[in-house]
Amino acid sequence: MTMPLKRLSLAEFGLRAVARHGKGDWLVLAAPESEIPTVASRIKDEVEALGDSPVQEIRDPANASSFIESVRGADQSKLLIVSGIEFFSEEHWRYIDLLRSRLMRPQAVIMVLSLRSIEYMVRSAPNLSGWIGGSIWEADIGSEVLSDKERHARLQSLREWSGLTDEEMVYRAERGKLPKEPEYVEWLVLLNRGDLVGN
Amino acid sequence: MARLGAAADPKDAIRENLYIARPGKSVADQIVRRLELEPASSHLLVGGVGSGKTTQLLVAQKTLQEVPDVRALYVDVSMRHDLSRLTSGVLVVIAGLALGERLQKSSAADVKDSREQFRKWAHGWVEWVEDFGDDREPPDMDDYEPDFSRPVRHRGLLVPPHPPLRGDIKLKAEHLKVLQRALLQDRRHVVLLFDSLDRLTSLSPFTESVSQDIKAIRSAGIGQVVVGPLNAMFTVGRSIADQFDCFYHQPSVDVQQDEAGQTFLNQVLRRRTPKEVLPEEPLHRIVELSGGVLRDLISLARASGEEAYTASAAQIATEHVDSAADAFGRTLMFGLDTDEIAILQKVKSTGSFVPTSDKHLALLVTRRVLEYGNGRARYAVHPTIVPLLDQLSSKQ
Amino acid sequence: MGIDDARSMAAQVESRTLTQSPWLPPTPEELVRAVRKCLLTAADEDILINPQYQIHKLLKMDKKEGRAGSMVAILMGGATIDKGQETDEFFLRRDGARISFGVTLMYGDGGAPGLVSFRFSLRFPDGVSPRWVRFDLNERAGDPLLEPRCHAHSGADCLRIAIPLMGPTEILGKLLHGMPVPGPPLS
Repeated sequence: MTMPLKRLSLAEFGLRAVARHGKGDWLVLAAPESEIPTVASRIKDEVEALGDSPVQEIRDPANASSFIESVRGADQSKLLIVSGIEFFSEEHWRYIDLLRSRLMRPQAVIMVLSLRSIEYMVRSAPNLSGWIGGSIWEADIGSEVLSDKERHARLQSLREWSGLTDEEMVYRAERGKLPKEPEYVEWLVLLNRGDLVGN
Repeated sequence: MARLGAAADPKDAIRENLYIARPGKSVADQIVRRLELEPASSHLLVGGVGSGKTTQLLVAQKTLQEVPDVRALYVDVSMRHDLSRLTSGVLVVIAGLALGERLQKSSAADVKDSREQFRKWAHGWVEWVEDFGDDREPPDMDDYEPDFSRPVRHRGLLVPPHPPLRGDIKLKAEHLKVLQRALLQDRRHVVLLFDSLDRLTSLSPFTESVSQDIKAIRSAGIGQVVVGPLNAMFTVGRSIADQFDCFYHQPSVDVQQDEAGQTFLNQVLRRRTPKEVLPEEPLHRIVELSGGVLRDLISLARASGEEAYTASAAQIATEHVDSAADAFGRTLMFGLDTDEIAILQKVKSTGSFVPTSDKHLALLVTRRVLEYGNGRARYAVHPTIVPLLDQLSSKQ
Repeated sequence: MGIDDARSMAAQVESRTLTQSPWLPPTPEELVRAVRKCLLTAADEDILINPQYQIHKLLKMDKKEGRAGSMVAILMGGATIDKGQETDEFFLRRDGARISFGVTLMYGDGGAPGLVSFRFSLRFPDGVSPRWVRFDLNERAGDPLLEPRCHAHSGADCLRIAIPLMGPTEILGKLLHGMPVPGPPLS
């Protein structure tokens, strides 16, 4: 691999997929191989939550022929999410590329692949890759969760607002003497003291 | 944005009046002019991925359909046959099926026979043969009509995954002539336009098809246009091109040195996107960054639109185009090894490119390297990967 | 009416407002998606002027272990505290008002999720009164007369009005579409 791909959260990727008008649109999301089933499910949830596009999944086709037939046989009115094709070799991708015409469909197709599979696809399926164009991103899986930096910034803001330190706040919470305002509850959770919520 | 589907069927673009002819004589024009003069001529068209070959084929078909005594039939070979099993006889059989479909109402015995033959060659049939072998059990003597026959399954030539039946090409060509003559009685020349053979990475199945099928179809007086693999242009492949009456290369549009080409690409985009959505400056930027590859032009425009949409912008701006181009370039560079990067760096700095190895050809086919015709070949790297190559060389 | 009567009546009001809990999606991820859709739709309709990527960036979630096998999740939209600071941590309405929020939920063992607390802040542009509105759900009840558990503030921390218990998307709907910028203060 040469240059890193652009990263996109699953929610943003889902939004882009839904915004595609469909005919023949192919999008690829790169994820670590162990995360692919989870990522595929989450993408399905994201797309369905946006409410516009019904979704069908194709998981673990037996081989390249089966993959092609599954795509052809899928409900043409639905956006497709394909995963579980990590075992496809360059030979499989070459075969798929030869029969690319059979993959044309009215709604978009999303493939969730490892970086290695993307490399095989780009090398061995140039015609399919031509359809995909620049629509390949790397999944930023944890981007919806608060980062450490964001957590520290919020904690600092809470300390400034209240005039208390973390220890003083926890001390009061342990004795059931924390003020009732919702900001204090957030504070406890940010400090990983969910056990004191509702104390 | 609906008009910016990079993988959209070219038939839709033509039907929706989105097609714009290239300046000068397009490949489709040249093919049609030649076929009008020589209806049985054969033509080979090659070009990189996304260069518009299928569109040219479809435009040629549409134009030929307007000629009174010509019937032009477009065939995507990959939809009828598993291209990984392309051998001689396949194209002739596909040709026979295509002609046969247009003679369904014919009551002539030879036409019916030929149609049936092609059907059998395509899909296989069961033949009962007599079997008087010594290992057969003696017939039941109570039977008045003992049965010594057994079924023999003849596999069809088309449809995977069974190995193809290698048929007698000459016999097929004779049946093809029967069908062609029948169509000619209605004053209809047939032209076949075969698409998708450009996806073959190995030349040998294509060579085999060309050396037998193309000749056989031609001998039946049928015109043909074949989209073939780009490497037919180079070294050993060149002799393949010589087996056709005419050879065409659909290059990328030279956006740097061809002003008419730039205008053409501007028009292609403008036909699909109004100024309120895509003002002139970002439109020119997209044209520049596409490198003149038609599909990449559409793809970049669509991606720029997406960037603008996610930025909640009312219009596409140059910054959206640059962001889209960066993502595009990264995917184009994905998986390149150090040798390939070195070749690209050389093309970027010197313009020098001699397609001698498989790696060179792969870079050309996958449009990392773009070839511009204009009578004298000029090579350049795809514009979206130029800044990324610069980044790589500054790191070293 | 004496203060005890007032307090007693306030307790009855609070009891009524807290009787019916809003429906919540069974997982925090589904709630995030619903809230995100609400905000993105508002952006599409030009109610919010944040670019889509910023809406994604401002909406965060975290999950931690709670007591007795439960899970506590917080959903945060924008800044933790809005003191009028000049930062880009807010959901901006086209009319200049801005929104930030935080919601804490508890997910018990197989049970329906419950709201623990929330704060939804709407700050108006300079020159209008009240300057801000806030919808709060405290973690627990206090004096029902002065500090009902679920209440709205209108420009002052000490002023609290009991409101029915609402779900995050219901409150957002109100803040996005049902709280126009008030006129300037009467002189």
